[in-house]
Amino acid sequence: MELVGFGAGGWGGSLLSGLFVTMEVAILALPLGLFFGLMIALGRRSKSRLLRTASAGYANAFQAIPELLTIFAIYHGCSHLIQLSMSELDVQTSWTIPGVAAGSFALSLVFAAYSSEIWMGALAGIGRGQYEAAMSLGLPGIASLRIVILPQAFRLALPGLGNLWIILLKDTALVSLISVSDFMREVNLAVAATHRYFALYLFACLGYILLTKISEFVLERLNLRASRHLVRVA
Amino acid sequence: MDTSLVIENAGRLYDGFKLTLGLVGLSAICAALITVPLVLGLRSKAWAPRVVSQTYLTFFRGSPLLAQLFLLYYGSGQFRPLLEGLGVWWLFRDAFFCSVLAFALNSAAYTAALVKGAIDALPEGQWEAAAALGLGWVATLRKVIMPQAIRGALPGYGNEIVLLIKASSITMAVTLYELLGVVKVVYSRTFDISIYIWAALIYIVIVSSVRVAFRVLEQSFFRW
Repeated sequence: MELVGFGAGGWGGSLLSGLFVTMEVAILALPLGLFFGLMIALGRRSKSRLLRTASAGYANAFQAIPELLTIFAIYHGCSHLIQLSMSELDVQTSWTIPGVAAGSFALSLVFAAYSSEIWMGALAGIGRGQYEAAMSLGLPGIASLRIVILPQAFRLALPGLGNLWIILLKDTALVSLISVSDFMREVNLAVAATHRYFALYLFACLGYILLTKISEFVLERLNLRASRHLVRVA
Repeated sequence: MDTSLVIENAGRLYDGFKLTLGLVGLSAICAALITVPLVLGLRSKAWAPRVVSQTYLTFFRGSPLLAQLFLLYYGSGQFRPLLEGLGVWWLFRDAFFCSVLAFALNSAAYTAALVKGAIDALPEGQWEAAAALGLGWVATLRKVIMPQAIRGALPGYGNEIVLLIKASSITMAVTLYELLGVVKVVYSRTFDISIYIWAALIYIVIVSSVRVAFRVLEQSFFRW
């Protein structure tokens, strides 16, 4: 227990900071992924055939490509692009994109692909009448989406998005492979110093389980709150 | 995008591809075997098997596969005397075996939840009808329940296989270089990011073929 404690020789401090980095990567990826996902879903429902094909292609591609490959491609690709454009400008630099930024951006691209499916289902679950009512009120497209459709779609999407959040939380462990000091990497560092493989990796698993359990608890509350108007009062 | 990078490294990429297929195939078979006792445990009337299976699901579905892989591969080293005594150390020393085991244990947890859901979704009348026909427990499962449950679980199982294919790309963390591992090595030699695009295309082709295969399976073999 003193191995993961905060006393002398304990790794509690660095493990805790790793846990915060893990949360940071996940929380940064979430809003971007949600927004991209909604855009992709709207694209897949669009009247334009080109937009439909492109959005569906995006969703299928990023559901098929391993998350780790996306992370590597973004991490190395962005650094590469920056260095290329810098050398165009005759600036010598070995600057690389921060791992946290690359990791959460890559994970948000993946999250977008999966969440577009959820958004599609939620948007399809809203009656035609709602769209027609918004139109007959003279609301322009964006406003009808923002005021009428999305508040209702969000409730339908919430359970599915919650599952994706938990998957996202676990996928953040992959950013340890591009040297982000997240929880997984801090555990690896502690292992390298102490050689307590089994205890520390078990602790890592339990740490993530704690995060997912807390998420499940909060999501359950959110679901109840979002559908509180449906609760039948005795 | 020139193809020379792929052509030069075709042999390596093919080796990585074969390793990916081997990992996925073997893990899927082992996962299917582990799924059976898990589902029985989850649906058991006694509380002990239920708690054990449920704890198993919580553990393997609640933590990242990467952490589980590290736990198995590096963690088993601490139990070397014990494992040597049991005569299985040569297995746990091997990164391929540890990866297959980690994937199988992980995938079995998801598959068990899937199969349990498919069985629970069947109406009670199916069990009652089978009982009324005087079918025994094994015959009920084999002739009545499983054919319907498999049909219900098939699309989800296809997704699970796709997830397994994607998950297999993490074994480079335990020194096993499958397709993505090879790609990473090629990148660090050439610093040519187009290799990642090629890799993405290869994965899209693999996953699309699996999806098509499952769709054919759904439409041809399970059409009742």
